[in-house]
Amino acid sequence: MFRYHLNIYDDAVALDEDGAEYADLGMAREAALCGAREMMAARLMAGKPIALSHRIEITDGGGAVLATLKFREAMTIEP
Amino acid sequence: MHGLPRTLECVLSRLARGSALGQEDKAAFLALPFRIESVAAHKALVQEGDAVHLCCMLLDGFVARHKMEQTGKRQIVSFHQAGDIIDLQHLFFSTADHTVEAITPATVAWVADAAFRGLLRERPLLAEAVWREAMIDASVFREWVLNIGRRDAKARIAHMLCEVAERAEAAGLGSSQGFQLPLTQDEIADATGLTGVHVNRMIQDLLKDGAIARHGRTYVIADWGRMCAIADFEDSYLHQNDTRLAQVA
Repeated sequence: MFRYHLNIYDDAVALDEDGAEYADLGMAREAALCGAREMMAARLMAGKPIALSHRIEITDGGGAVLATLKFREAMTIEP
Repeated sequence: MHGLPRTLECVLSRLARGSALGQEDKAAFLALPFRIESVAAHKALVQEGDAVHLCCMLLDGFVARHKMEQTGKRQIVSFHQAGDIIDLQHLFFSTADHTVEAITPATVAWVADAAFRGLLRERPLLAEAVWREAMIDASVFREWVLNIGRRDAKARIAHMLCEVAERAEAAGLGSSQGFQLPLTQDEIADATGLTGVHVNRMIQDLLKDGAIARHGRTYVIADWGRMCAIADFEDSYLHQNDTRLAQVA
């Protein structure tokens, strides 16, 4: 298990100071994906806009960015 | 180790609040045989599916009850603090239907179910006090269904934190203003049915509102009034000041 920090950059910055343990970066990215979808769903239900450029950065304990998930990647839109 | 509780005093004081126990009831409760166990944080005290013959009373620390769905997602269904009888249902059922896990280092007293049941048969006022506890438990569960079913993420988190702080204050374990929350982001997520990511974002909002403040690595409730307003928190469901049972005895 490794500790990853999932920092959120939407209309505010929410640094994940505690972090959480995941088996690998793939599992941390999966958690970021679920979180992004849940936050977007809550905004949709509240009638608030969603900015596709908002993102979650996954860092290690030293702050190095290992992966970035744009909210755009967390959804499929069909016409 | 120093100052760890060695008696059932804190459980008795919780039971005595709001009921009409006499001196003999109290003495009989304190004379129950029990075995003390101190455990590290995150240790499971009871596992779902275990055969249970002991009732767990929490003397120190903070524990959660939880259940898991088939893919391993966890739902925390309640939190408990010193003085709580954590698993009254194990007086009546042979198999644990959920897991009990220490959130912080904790000290518990294990009481044999047969001894406890025997005492309750002999002492009707004690039986009523225990029954009252179970009813309060049920009321808290009803509030949690409302919280997780109908409140938005921010109110849901705020409500859960208000409850933890309010119960701690009522038990003399701290003041709701400036109460230090013993929970991590992921534990809050598991108790509110949210992702840890979403919890982190909502905590950012609560910080910005001035409702909570960061205190080292933990959080404190900084503005109780604001926190209650955000949370839609009103403490009557905890029945902490209800003395009806004491009056009718």
